[in-house]
Amino acid sequence: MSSRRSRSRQSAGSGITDDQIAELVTRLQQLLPEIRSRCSDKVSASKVLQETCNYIRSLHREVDDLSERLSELLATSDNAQAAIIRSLLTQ
Amino acid sequence: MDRQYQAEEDFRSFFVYSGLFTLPVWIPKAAEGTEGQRTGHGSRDHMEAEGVFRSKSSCSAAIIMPLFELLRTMRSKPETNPAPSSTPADPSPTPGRDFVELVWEDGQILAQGQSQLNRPWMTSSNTGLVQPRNCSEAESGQKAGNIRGLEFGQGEIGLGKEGNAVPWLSYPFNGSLHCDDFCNDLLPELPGIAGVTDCRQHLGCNTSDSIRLFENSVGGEVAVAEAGPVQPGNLSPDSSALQQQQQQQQLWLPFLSYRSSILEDAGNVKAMAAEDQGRVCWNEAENGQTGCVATEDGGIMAEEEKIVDNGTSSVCSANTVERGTCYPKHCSKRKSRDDNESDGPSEDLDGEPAIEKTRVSSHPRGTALKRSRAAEVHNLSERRRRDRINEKMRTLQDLIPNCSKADKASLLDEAIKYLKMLQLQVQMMTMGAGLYMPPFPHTGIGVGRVIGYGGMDLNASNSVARRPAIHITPPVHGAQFPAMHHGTLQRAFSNPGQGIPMSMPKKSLQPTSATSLVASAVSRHGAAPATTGSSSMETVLGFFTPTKPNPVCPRDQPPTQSGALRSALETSDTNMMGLGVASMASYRK
Repeated sequence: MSSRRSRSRQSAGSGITDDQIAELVTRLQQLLPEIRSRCSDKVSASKVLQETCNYIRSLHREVDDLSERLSELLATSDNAQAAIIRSLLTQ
Repeated sequence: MDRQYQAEEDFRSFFVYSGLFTLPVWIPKAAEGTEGQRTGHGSRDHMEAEGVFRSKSSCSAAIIMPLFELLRTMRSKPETNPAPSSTPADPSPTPGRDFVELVWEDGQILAQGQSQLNRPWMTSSNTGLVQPRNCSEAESGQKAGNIRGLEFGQGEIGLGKEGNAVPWLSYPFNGSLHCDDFCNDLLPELPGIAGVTDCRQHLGCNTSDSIRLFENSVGGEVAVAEAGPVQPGNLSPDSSALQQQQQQQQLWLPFLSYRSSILEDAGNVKAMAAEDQGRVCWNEAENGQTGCVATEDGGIMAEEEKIVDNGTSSVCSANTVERGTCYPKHCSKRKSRDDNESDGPSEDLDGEPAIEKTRVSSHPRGTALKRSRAAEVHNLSERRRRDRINEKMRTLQDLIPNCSKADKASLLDEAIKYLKMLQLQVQMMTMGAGLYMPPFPHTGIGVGRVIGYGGMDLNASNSVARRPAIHITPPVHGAQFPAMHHGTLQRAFSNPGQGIPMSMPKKSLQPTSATSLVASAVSRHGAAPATTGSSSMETVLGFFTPTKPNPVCPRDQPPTQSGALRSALETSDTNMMGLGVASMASYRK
């Protein structure tokens, strides 16, 4: 109990409360399709963090794939398509 | 009384025979229940509680003591009980049973005398081998030094020494003084004294008249024992009174011993005298109601000071109250021993610092045991959990580029932003890829949506973090992709757990031109700033250029690939990509 007290005191001293952390974790959790789809409210913080790490890695992989594909596409795309997009965005 | 004694004997016999040397920590219920039990001497509850308590204490003492020691002590002491020789179990309740707390600390076993005040429970040394020397000392009557806390080197602990174990029973009071935080946590503060019971009942049987009665202080602080053993004349070792005094001293000693230095050898007599004085003081204090018993440091300090003044070292004197609470143990038995034994240990003690109240690795019995175990388990699991989280945090920090944030909150914040950015990036790139699927109008729809949801929002608010999760519908139905792109996109979306939440629009909107849709999306979000211009192109290029800090998978993306993309962007002059990346760039701001 004393440890808890001291911890809260300490965190309060550093300007960050446990509540803030919890809220951040919750927000992070909402970004994770894995956990979000599970619809169980109670997810441990470590689980959220683990999923976040996994998710970030997967996103990295996706980005890699997509960038590769995009570069490929851009290289091969014809001018007509590019023109359409250009006109679209520069309206 | 019969019942109490019986219980005591049973316990003792049990432990002795079982050969347990480890002393289970016992928390007397009486201590916890103090208030309610404090009723009166005569109240049955009270009596029972004490009986239990006492029996425990005796048990502990018995346990700690080696059998032969126990036997010897018992024999030596005719007064206490008949038939000591026969079995250890026999011992009638002796007035002075001390409890010494043996704490395993840093490889050394520390015997701590516990003040009654704080600790309701007794701790025992972990190893059966440990034989506290204190016993011998206690016997000699110098108890003070001994009890105080002896540090036993491990070597010292060896069987060869015949120390008597001095188990001591702490009495829970307010619980502030000596108790460690740990103890405090575990133990509820006890306002009243559990031990306040009548001395007469317990002590009286064995002990001589010296201890007459313990009175419960009204304050509930401590029962005051008015005892009168303090008589210099009693010093003669033989007299039972002396023994009792010694016992008392022993009991108290632990209490005071913490701070005070130990007596010199000389000391039996001195100690005794000091004790007497101390007692007197104590008694006086009691009268004043201060708290001799009181758990407050002040009271204790005062006592110590008095003692010091008297010339005695650490020995605390009076302890009627404690005595009452502690319940006499084997000390009385020990008294039989002479000064000789005592001298050795006392000397040792002199050099030693006061006992530290360290976190006791105690093995409390009963509720205390449960509680402490629960607490330990909780602490352990809590620590593990924290370690796990911290580890994940570090991993997360590694995954987030350019994240120098040290504290958790900002790291999490960063992670959220980065995650959103990544999701957006994937959307944009997917969209971009989809955009280039020439024949499919549906693709355009998807793009428009993506931009409307993600890109514009990002540009507008420039604070990704505050937005709720971005719900982006996948722009393209996988099946609609041309064969050449199908595989890749499928890969991107194939893993629902990894990828973007998918809601595949089976029924797409009217096939319209991508242009109009995107435009509408932009206009719908009014904010549609034109970050997407040429500057955005720079962003794009910078984004994929390894030379600049690259928020996106800096490691994984080979420079050649970036170069290829860059060249592709340059050649195709796609502002669309610029739009997407511009939003990503906002993350970096």
